[in-house]
Amino acid sequence: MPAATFVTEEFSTLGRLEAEALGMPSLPLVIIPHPMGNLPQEKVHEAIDGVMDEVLSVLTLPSGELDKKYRGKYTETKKTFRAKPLFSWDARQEKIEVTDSLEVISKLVEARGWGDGLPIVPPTGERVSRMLEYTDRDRRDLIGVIPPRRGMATVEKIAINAVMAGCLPEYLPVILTAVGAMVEPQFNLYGIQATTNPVAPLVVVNGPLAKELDINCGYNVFGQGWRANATIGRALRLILTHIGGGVPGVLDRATQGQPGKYSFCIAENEEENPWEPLHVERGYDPQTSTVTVVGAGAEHNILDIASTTAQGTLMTLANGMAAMETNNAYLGGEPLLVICPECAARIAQGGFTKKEAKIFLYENARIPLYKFTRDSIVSMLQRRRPKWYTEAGPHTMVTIANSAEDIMVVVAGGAGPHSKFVPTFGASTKAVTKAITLKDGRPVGAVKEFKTRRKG
Amino acid sequence: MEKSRKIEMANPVGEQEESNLRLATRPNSLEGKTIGLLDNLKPNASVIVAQAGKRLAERFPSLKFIVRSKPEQAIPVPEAIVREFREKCSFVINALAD
Repeated sequence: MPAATFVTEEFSTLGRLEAEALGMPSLPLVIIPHPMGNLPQEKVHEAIDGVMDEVLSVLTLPSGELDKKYRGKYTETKKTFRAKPLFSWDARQEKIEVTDSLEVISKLVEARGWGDGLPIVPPTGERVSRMLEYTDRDRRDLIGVIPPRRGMATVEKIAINAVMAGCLPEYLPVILTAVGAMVEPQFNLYGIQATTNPVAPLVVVNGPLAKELDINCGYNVFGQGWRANATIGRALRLILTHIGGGVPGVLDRATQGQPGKYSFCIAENEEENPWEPLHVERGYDPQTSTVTVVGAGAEHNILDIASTTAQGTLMTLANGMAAMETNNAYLGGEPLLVICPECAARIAQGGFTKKEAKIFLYENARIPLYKFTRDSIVSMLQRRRPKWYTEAGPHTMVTIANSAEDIMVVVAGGAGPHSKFVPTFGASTKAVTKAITLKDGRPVGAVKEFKTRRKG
Repeated sequence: MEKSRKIEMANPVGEQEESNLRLATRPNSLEGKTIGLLDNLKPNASVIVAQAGKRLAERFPSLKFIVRSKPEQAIPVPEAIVREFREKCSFVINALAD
């Protein structure tokens, strides 16, 4: 159907690259000044009036003329320099010959717009083969298509990126499962990749493989120090970059981003969790290892150093979750709370089940409507959550989720009083849990089962 | 001293999925046609498409409009809206990104 698509100048490169990735390189994009979102209406009208002749031509010119006018049309702004290497990515080049020097390799990676800014492990044939020993899938099997570039994440391409990230071969099953989870439609990887929001896929690992692979669930669980956490998360970021095209400022439009975009992978502290762990809550056997991917923003620390009761701890956590300017306040969705073991124990000792704790959090993590600005109330709360807030008065309490069940709770961390509120992308993403299984769907008890069943 | 030994690295870039789409053929004129105006829920997106619709209506008074909004900003346009536009509209005006 003939369409005229408005895009602001700042996002025009994104629009053109997305159109090309979708197989429509001559999609007419009518470019208007940036920004538009926070202008008064009369200024918006002026901007649109200025391009109406172009709109009319987009709706009436023959396809051949539109093709000449719009195919490959990029606006040059000072910020598009990073796009240039992306244009020359050529997946057909299977092997890249390079001098075996860390400095030379690093320069090549940077020149191509690859990587995350840190040195990579060169993915030689030998390293990739060793990585592939830990899957029983064929290297050409397609796990998923990664947006917005629509690159095909085959087992082999995933393995290559896992080598670059510094992963042990034993981690490959976790990474393959995480990629499979990310491409499920309800996760909305396209939205997560291209947004201005700092959202990144957070991987939560449950079950016996978390322990076998030494995926940290204790002290400094969101920080550095464990190869598994650091490199599994990093591998996913490299996959999203090299296969999905998520190059910052080009197809990844995060305004500021967050440190979790380097690596964002934890295990749940099941030993110190007084309730059922996340994967059991989501229907899996305790002995089945799983990966859950969550569209997670930057985490916000919650200090509970004074509470002596379950209710005190729950109220403190709820206070920390009542964050106004988050996607969860404006859009609902599945906010995540990562509770430290001491706080979880105090809550459970007060007689709260996990379900009851969520109800308490849902009822108390609220913000009075009058605290929001007028523009936010009209453009966001009432436009995006109309079912809940169209008729709301100033003392209506705004929730961070649409139900208690939507609040996700994970237990992780070491000793101490700190927990984390992890705001998520909002209602346009749902967390996905997948079991780590052999190709035939059977869960594994130990990672070596992949190696003993692999195909050549 | 820099080594001159060469190695071969595998390419981490994935091949792109093929897609064969064509630009839709434009009708000769807008007279008497229906235009779909799609709001992507970003601030002022509704203002943008409405203004475009208003100016087109001034030039072509016989135009009719169907106005729809995505239910969430960060998801693809739902199939139901695509189907409705395809059945009832000759053109669509929409907005991309922020």
